[in-house]
Amino acid sequence: MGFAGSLAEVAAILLVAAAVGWAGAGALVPRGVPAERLAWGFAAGLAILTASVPLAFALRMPPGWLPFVLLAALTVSLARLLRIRESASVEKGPSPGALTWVFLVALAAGVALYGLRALTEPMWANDYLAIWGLKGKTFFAEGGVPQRLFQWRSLSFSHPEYPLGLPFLYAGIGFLLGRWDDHAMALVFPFVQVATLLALFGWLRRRGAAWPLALGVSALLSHFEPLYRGFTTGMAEVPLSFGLLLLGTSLCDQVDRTDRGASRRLGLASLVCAGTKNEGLFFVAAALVVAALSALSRKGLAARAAAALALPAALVVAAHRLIRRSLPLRDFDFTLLRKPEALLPRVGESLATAIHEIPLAAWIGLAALAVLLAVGRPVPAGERLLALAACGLGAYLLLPSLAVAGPAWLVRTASFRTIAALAPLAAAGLAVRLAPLFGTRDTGQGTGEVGL
Amino acid sequence: MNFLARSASRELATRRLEGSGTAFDRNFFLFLESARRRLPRDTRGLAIFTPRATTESLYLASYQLAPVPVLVDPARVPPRWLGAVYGLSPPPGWRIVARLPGGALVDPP
Repeated sequence: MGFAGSLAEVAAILLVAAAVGWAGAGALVPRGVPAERLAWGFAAGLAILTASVPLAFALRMPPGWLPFVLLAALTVSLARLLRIRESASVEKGPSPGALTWVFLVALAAGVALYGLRALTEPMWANDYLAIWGLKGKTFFAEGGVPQRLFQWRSLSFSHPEYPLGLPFLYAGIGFLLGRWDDHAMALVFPFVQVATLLALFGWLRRRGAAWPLALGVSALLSHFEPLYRGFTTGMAEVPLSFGLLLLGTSLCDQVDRTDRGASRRLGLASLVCAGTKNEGLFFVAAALVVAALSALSRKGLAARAAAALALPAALVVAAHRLIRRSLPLRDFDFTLLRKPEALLPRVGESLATAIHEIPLAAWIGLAALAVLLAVGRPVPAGERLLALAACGLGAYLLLPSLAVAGPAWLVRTASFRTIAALAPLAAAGLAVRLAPLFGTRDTGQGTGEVGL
Repeated sequence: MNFLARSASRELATRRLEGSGTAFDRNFFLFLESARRRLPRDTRGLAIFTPRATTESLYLASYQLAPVPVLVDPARVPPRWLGAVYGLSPPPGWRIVARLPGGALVDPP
């Protein structure tokens, strides 16, 4: 079959997953915010598709449509019982002006450009071939999870200790498609980009940002080439960046008690982050700290946020233990944390390499971010999102100092694309701080009712 | 855009052959894909011998031949695995199973 036919089939699979997720998202998102419901629905649909694969393996069912439909039916039925009836109060504001149309065209161009970059050729990045694609293709071809992937030293290059969410997603699409097509499957990534932009736009609008601001920031993000490029297509950064945005925004909603779906959204975001990359667990822990700090000034939410964050992440960890037992992070020497005399020079090397490797364009971008940060107003939700992004930035800059292969090597090979995954989170944080400048409110409330 | 339009009607393996992931040695991918198509169904693993073993060749071979396990330039071939030589002559005593572009599929003694 030619590329166009395969692409149409994968698009249909993703749309079915999104439709299932949309039905389930009635229990996650209040009424009246279709952009957010689409985004959360897509995340839920992909999570169902991903989970259907290990579920089928565990139940010794043939993977494919049957386990997917069963799991989807179960989830949607449960979601109907837990449906949120309250509506979000989104300010209509003035009718879209000329500027809004300009941003809309820019947004469409950003999506189209990434679509072209992602779909020009079969997924090809080293990390796709060696890690994510290799495991997914093996699960698909063997109809199971062979233990050699985690036990053979000769396969250590495929990072057996990485989470299996993305490989299971690839295998799930392969099972529904009935074959392995690593070119058409790349369509997942533009879909994830669109879901990220919808989540960003919808959340900003619900938080009182004016149309042009919400749309302008989304349009700007859609053109963020360090994240949305051919090289990152197939790797975990684009899905993780989506998960981090969901994590940050749902954390803010939970802290601000916007609606009764906030804790459920936080739980799904925790599941997505922990299942996508190892640092997803770090971000879940960082979100816990941010929630606890926020709870100091706002009454009674720490326990609920902790449960919503920790339980899904613990479920992911437990599932991985069952599949492959506990595996060490072999790329890092954590004993260095006990040897400051050895660690400090390595921290210096990490930071020096990072500063040396930053291109001029990135310095200009960082300067623009600093200006936006300076002109924005202190808004609690913005501070929380930026605190979470800062935790990630700090970790990505300092973690190379623990790298067995040396700090400079890890900074050069991974730091910039991993830091790029923080962009949607940082964009949401910066934009919500700019909302008051556009004459709109910072509600801190998504719905008129607070029904926790 | 032109590249996409030109290659869209081609077979998936051909699209990969023309893409970025094989640019380091397109003949090696041709060899790998030919080996994949000639592998007996019950192959337990493939040991590949090449004069220019790199991480790129290891990653590409492991992915393209998955789920068949692959070793590149191993010190010894595991029992009941097949071998594949690329840019080299088969070692004496190894039976040639199939000739491939740039090499051969071989059965170690």
